[in-house]
Amino acid sequence: MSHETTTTATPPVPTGENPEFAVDIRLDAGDDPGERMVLNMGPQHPSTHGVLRLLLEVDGERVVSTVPDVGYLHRGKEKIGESLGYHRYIPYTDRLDYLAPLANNCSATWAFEKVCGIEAPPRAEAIRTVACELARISAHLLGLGAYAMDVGAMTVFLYTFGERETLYNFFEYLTGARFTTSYTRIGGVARDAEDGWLKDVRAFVDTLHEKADTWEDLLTNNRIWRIRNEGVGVITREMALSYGLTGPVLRGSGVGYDVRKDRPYGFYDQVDFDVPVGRHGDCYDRYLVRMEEIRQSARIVAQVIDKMPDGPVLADEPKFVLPNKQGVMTGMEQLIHQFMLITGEMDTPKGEIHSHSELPKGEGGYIIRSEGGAAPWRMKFRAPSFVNLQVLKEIIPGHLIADIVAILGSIDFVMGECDK
Amino acid sequence: MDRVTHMSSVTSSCMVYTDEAPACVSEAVTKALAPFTVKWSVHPEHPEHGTQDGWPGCLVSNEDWPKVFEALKNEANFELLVDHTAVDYPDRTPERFTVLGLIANIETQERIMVRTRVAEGGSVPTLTHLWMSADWAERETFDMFGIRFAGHPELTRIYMPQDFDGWPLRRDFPMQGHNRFRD
Repeated sequence: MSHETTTTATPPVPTGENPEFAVDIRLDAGDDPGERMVLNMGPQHPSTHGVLRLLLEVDGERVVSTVPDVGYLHRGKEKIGESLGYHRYIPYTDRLDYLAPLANNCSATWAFEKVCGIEAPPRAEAIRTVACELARISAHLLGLGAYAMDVGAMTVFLYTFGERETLYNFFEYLTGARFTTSYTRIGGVARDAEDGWLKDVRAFVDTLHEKADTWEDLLTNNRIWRIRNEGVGVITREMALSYGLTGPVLRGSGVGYDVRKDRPYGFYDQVDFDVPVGRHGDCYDRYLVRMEEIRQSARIVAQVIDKMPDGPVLADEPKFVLPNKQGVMTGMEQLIHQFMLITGEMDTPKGEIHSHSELPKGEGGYIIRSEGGAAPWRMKFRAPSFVNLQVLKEIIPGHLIADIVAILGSIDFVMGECDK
Repeated sequence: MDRVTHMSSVTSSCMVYTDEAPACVSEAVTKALAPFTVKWSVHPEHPEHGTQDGWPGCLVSNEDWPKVFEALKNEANFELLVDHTAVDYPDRTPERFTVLGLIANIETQERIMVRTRVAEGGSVPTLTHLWMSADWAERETFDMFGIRFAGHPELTRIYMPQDFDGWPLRRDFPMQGHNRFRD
């Protein structure tokens, strides 16, 4: 088989002066290439959990330098939001961090309520807080299971997926869907949580502490697990802040920064919980932080359910809030009202807002510039995975290829969120 | 997927600016920004607030942009670059874009939104010497709006393919993209 290869001259190094010029990201082997070679890890590598591509320059098994390449899943969510408007954008947030759709629904709705200048009733805020924390537990369980499996511990994955199944049954009962929940509405939530559901969730989170001990027994003092993770992928405090890291990755490096605690929103000002921090900033610390966050989330859920206020779950703000679905199905006025809001007969106040919320992967948030109307003039979503992934180029060099798998697992990113 | 509203007539930003700092701006910030000409944004109905939700926000000149961040980082302890983006007003002259940088002080939980304006084809000085996170953030803003950041080490597209034609998040970029097959 003759395969004609054409060697072309080295393409010019991108300078940023001429962005229209098509250049691919490539690595510079330096003056002395030696035995080095360039290896493509991803975008279809199983340990990259999606479509992350890492260009590695390796010397034997050791990585000399790396360039992370993102954007394979870019769907233009912000453009969609600016075009469709606030109400119609909420289902799209399910597909951002698809491991915690409920947290993304809530994050978007909190931002949109700030734009409209309204507040959801206390019961809606409490239900959202429960939903967010259940989503966090579910996301951390998947992150933990997949991380352990990538490093070679298959059993943990099976345990955590069993619990995720229970959680997805809860989500299905609450929202009608297991993954694409689209549960929140501007001014509240789509439907009320039933007392039986709250009781079941309460019983489930009480058992979670014991189950977390079981998972920890498998890993925390496991010799192989410790050798694979301790001292690997160390992120110092300065590095973490310079790279803008948030979430468990930042807290693993010893910075106790959590917007749930520091600038409470939703129901978080009425619950008591701890923010775990690590000491060394290595993969093992990030694992411990995530493990403790599962327990703290269980604590939060239990407290919120005990304090669950009564009342409506949708605000009485007919200018911005959709009518009750039951009413839409039976009453002409409500149907017209819903139709008008969805098709754009909504006039939001002008102004600029910034909203933040602690998503499972880190701090998420929206910057929205409203010029009136039913759609934002500009909507920017801060994707925590996107910001967190940048640190890879700093921490991977010097490690073995097998360590990359542990580092990727400990950063715990979702490409749906990263690529927007 | 049509736009729910047609707002092409928006020719200027809704933000209102004054020379005097509103009450929500802390003393450390005022002190750090003393050497610069800063315009503060105020909410038309709540003058004590910087923006609709209470964060302070300001507008600085293009040349002062990196110096303002440097002063806030070193003197007022704003350690975290939280977010970075731009807003497009196609009909606004002469400066079409507003570039936004949101920074946070993680000790006091203060946040401040710094803005600057830039014309089409113009460039803004980079922040990569202050924060490593500015690298991808500026690449994203460049990719979506075509705003150049002078001094950035590798200003290439990050989400879109390298040979993509156009700037997707500009308001005048068609929602359905370039429909090459229909024309």
